[in-house]
This record gives sequence, C-alpha cells and structure tokens, in this order.
Amino acid sequence: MGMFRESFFLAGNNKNRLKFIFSLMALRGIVKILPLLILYLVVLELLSARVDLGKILVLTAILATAFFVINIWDHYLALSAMKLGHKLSYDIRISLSDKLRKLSLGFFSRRPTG
Amino acid sequence: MLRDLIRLAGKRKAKLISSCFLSIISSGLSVIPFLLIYQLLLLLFSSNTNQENTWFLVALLPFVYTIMYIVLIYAYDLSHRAAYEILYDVRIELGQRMTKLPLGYFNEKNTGETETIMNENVERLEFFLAHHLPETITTIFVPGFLAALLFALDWWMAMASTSLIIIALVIILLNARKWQGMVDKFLTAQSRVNSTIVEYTQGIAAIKAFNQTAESFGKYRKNMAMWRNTLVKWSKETALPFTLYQAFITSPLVVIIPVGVWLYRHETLTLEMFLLFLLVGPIFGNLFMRIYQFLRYWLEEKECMDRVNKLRYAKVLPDYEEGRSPSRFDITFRDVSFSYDGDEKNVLHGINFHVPQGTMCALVGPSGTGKTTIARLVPRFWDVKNGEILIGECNIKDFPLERLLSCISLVFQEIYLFNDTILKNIRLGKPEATEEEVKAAACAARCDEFIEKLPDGYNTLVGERGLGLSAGEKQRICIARALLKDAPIVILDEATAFIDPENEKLIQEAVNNLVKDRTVLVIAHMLSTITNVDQILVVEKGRIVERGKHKELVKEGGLFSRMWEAHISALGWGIRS
Repeated sequence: MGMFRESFFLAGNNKNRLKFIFSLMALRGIVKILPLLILYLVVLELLSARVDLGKILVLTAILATAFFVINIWDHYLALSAMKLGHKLSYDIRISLSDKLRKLSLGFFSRRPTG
Repeated sequence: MLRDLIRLAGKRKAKLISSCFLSIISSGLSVIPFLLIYQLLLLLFSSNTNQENTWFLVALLPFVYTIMYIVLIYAYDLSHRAAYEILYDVRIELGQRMTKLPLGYFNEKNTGETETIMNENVERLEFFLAHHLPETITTIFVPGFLAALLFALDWWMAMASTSLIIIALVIILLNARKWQGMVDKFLTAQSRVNSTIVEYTQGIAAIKAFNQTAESFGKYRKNMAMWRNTLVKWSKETALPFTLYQAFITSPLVVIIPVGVWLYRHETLTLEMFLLFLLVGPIFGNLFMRIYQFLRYWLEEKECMDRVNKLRYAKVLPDYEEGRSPSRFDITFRDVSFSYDGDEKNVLHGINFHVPQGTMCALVGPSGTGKTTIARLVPRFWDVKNGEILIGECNIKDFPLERLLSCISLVFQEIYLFNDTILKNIRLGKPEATEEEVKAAACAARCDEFIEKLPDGYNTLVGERGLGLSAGEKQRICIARALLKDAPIVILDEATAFIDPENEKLIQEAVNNLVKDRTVLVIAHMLSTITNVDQILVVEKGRIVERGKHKELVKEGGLFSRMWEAHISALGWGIRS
C-alpha cells in the first residue's frame, strides 16, 4: 500500500488519472478470467454424455468477442499508462532540477555528483 | 550480434556457451510434462485404468520439473558469473583504453556521453548476458520444442494452434525493421539526458548565481522534453503492432475449438487429443508473448553493445612498448600544420620555432588563434597533420607515450582535483613520493600555509573537484603536483587566469619555483608576467606572426606592441567615485 501512496504522491496533479489507470488495470485482471471460464464450459460440454457441437461453436463466438474486447481495452490502457508514465517522469525530473536550484551549495560539496 | 557477443565474452566464452547449452536442455525438459499429461489423459479415458501407471506418471511430473529447474538454476548461475566477469573485464579494458586515447578525444566528447557508455550501456550488457540471453534461448526453444511435440501428436491440430501465431510473427517482423532507428533515437536521447544532468549538477553554482530556474534552464528542459517525446512517439508507433501481435498469440483457442470440433465430428480426432490441445493451445500462445519483449531488448542491447565497442575500439595514438629516449629537453616545431579530426581546414599553418633546453618561451595572441592547440600538441593530445615536433633530437611520435608524458608537467587553467586528501592529490605527480617529498613540493608551491590551517592538514579531504578550496589554492595544489613530478619540460596554459591579485602573487612565486632550470612553454594572458622570458611567439590565425624578446617586440610596433599598450592601459583602469 505504501508503494501506491508514494506513486500517487509523485503523480501530483495527475493523481486522479493514475488512480483511474490503476483501477482499469485491476478490472482488466478480472475480465481476463472470462476466456478461461468459456474454456471451462467448452470442456464441460465435451465431457457431457450428449455433446452439443452448436453450443460449443456459440461459446467459441463469445470467446472471440471477448478476446476482441480485451485487446482493444489493453491497447488503450497501455497507451494511456505509457503516456502518463513518460509525462510523470518528465515532470519529476523538472521539479527535481528546480529543487536542486533551491538547495545550498554545501549540499553539493558534501555529496559526489555521481 | 552473436559474433560481437563472443568477442565481448573473451576468456569467459566457455561459461557463456555452457549457460546457453544448459538453457536449451532445460527448454527440452519443459516439454516433457505436456507429454506426461497426454499420457495421463489417455490412461484416464481408457476402459481399464491402470492405477499403478497413473501414479507413476503423476510422480514423474514433479521429478521432471525439479530436474528442469536445477538445470535452469545452474544455467542462470553460469550466465550471472560470466556476465559479472565479462563486465569487470570490459570496464577495466575501457578504463585502460581511455588512458591510451589521445587527450583530444575527451575534448571532443562530453563527459555525459562517455559516462553513459561506461555506466549505463555497460550495465545494460549485464541484463543482456545474465538475464536476457538465457531467457531468449528458453523463449525460442521452449515454443520450438513444444511445436515439434504438437506436430508429432496431431498435424492438423498443430496447424490450428500455430496459424494465428505465424500471422502474429509476420506482423512483428515487418514492424521490427523500423525499430532499429527508433532504438538509436531513444539511446541518443537517453545519452543527451545524462549529459544534461551531469552538466546541470556540475554547473549548479552558475545556475544559482544567474537565477536560472528549472523552467528557464532551456537546454535541460529541451533535452528532457526530447527524451519524453521520443518515448511517447515510440510507444505510439509500437502500440498498434503490439496489440495485433498480442491479439493473435492469445487467441489460438478461437481456431483450435472449431477445427477440433470439425475433426472430432468426423472422428479423425480423439477426445483425449482434443482436450490436450485445448489445454496446451493457450499456453503455447502465451509463450510467444515474451518473444516480443526480447526482440525489443535484443535491439536495445545490440545498440548498447555497439556503443561500448565504439569506445573499446576507438582509434588510439600509435605507441611503442620500446622506443627512443631524449638526451636533451629542448622543443622544436618544424613546419607543423594541424586540423582537428574530420575537419579539412587547418587551424595551425607552418609553425616553426625552437625552445632551447632550460629556457622559457611564451605564446601570446588574441583568443582562439591556436596558442593552446600548439601547447597541447607537445604531449600528443592530437598528432600533427604535417611537419614534426621534436624533443631533443627525437620526434615525439618515436617515444613511448608513457615516457613522453613522464617528461612533461602540465598546469592548466581548468583545475581538476580528485575527491581525496590533499596529500594524495599532490602525490598524483609521483605516486612513490614520500610524505616529506610531498610536503617539500607543497612548500615550494606555497601551499603549506593554507594546508596547515586546515583541520586535518594534508589529510583533509578536498571534496569533489576541490569544492572545499578556493581557485588559487586549487591551482597551487596543481603546481605542487607538477613540482613533485619534477619533469624537465613544463607547459603552463593560462595558469593565473581568473585568480585574485593576492593569490596571483603566491601562484607566481610557485610558478617561479616550478619553471627553474626547465624548458617551459607558457601561454599567458597577463603580458606583465612574461616580460623576462627568453622568447615570445605572437600567434594570430594559426600562424606565428612575430617573435623575439619583450623589448624587441614592443619596439616593432606590431600586434604584440598593440596588445602590450592595451594591457598597460587596462592596468590603470579604476572606478571613479
């Protein structure tokens, strides 16, 4: 939890965007179970006494739709997360340089530049 | 890449190859559990289940996994040991290489660029050798062995399992062509970011003095923004191909199920085999997920390796183990012309002069006319383009570089002190010097009075780049270093520039001790400090335009005379209240 708190603190004004992305990622984890559930239903059908091939094909169609939706979701989520990540590291570097400007020169003589 | 890798591995080649070989064995073993699961399915669906055989297969599963992980751990252990040993060798080699590079190399490259190569790029090689190389092998061989098993079991179902993956691989390979350029841009941006950060932290005093806030620190912001934009552009350009790749490799079930149903309906596929493919299909697809990552790592790390190799094989000055030794220490320039690497235009033209042993020669002239270049050609910062430079009767190129540098003491305007004690900083001039010799040199350089006032005397840490000392004190430590070295030739490059009057007097005394009975080449901005030198050379636009003693040159009424008048009138300047 401490790690999340630190991330939100570092995000500054972008805290809510970061929270939104984290929530979507958590939700994505739940949605990703869906294909496994469909696979389970397919296996159950195959093991049943009277195999209904039509039902299996319907389940396959649902599976294809689920994959389609999950991948579109993944695409936009990854793009937003990457963009936000790059923006945050840029903002952090700029604010760190600003902080360095405000420190006393003694801070730099006591610490090696590296 | 592989050839470069083997070259890089050097003596550790055997360890690295063994690690790769063990990774391949581990990949082969990882397929066995799938075969055992298939056997289990066959047993479970057979009419008379043999309990003994079933338990045997179940017991075999953890055994195979244990062997597989033991082999894998051993492979990683070897790859890590090889990686750290290789990186140690490479860093030592780079350090040694840097001592053999012409000093001019460091004038042309900025510190951040070299630091990025020595630190970050070499560090990335650790990831490559210790982690990504064995992981890449398992990432390629595990799906390879598994595909072979699937094709051996059922050709049609194997085709169904791999069809979408083949499409995914085609997409990514077509897209990977653009990656090389993007990786290059990214690493260049990364290198610029490092240089900017080094420059920013080292120049913090000036930034504070001129109130340059982070917002207005243009170069810093520009390079940070460039780095961010490169990454955002890269992310955008690779996002769609990656999504398509991911979509195809995670969806083999969409093909496996209908094909399986069709074959099952036509009784050309058993239920056990269908179940096996339903189980293995998604796992098989997911194995390809890492190939995308490793392809990117591979390109990035190849570029890092290229940058490291560029420094490893940077052109060094021709040198000899054995060579001539000068019997005299006079300096002669014969028709010397010079241009910087890659620049056709000469910055020095037909320079001729002779500095007899034990005399002092001053180079004067307007800024940017080539005085410093002339002085820096003597210790071979660069080699001359035409003509020759002699020390005594020998061309400087005929001396072993180490012997040449041992003949010369250099005192520059830019002072560099190591983050160590004053004693060790002075001892750099002669590492074997006793404490008494160091103190004697410090005394002759007028350092003793301020050193004795310091809390730990000679054992005081000077701080990084000597931040704890004034410019004059640092300069006197450098002179003490040169005095301790006791080289027969001394080159002074504007050693008293930007020093306050009080320190200038002390430094002048220290310099007088340093130059006594030595051959001296001095670049002076204060013309009053060189009135008594044996010879003055006036340099303008890369040529010697006047030469002679101070009085002669003043009488001549040329450039030197005008410079002298300007100097004299500047000394009379004051502020009227």
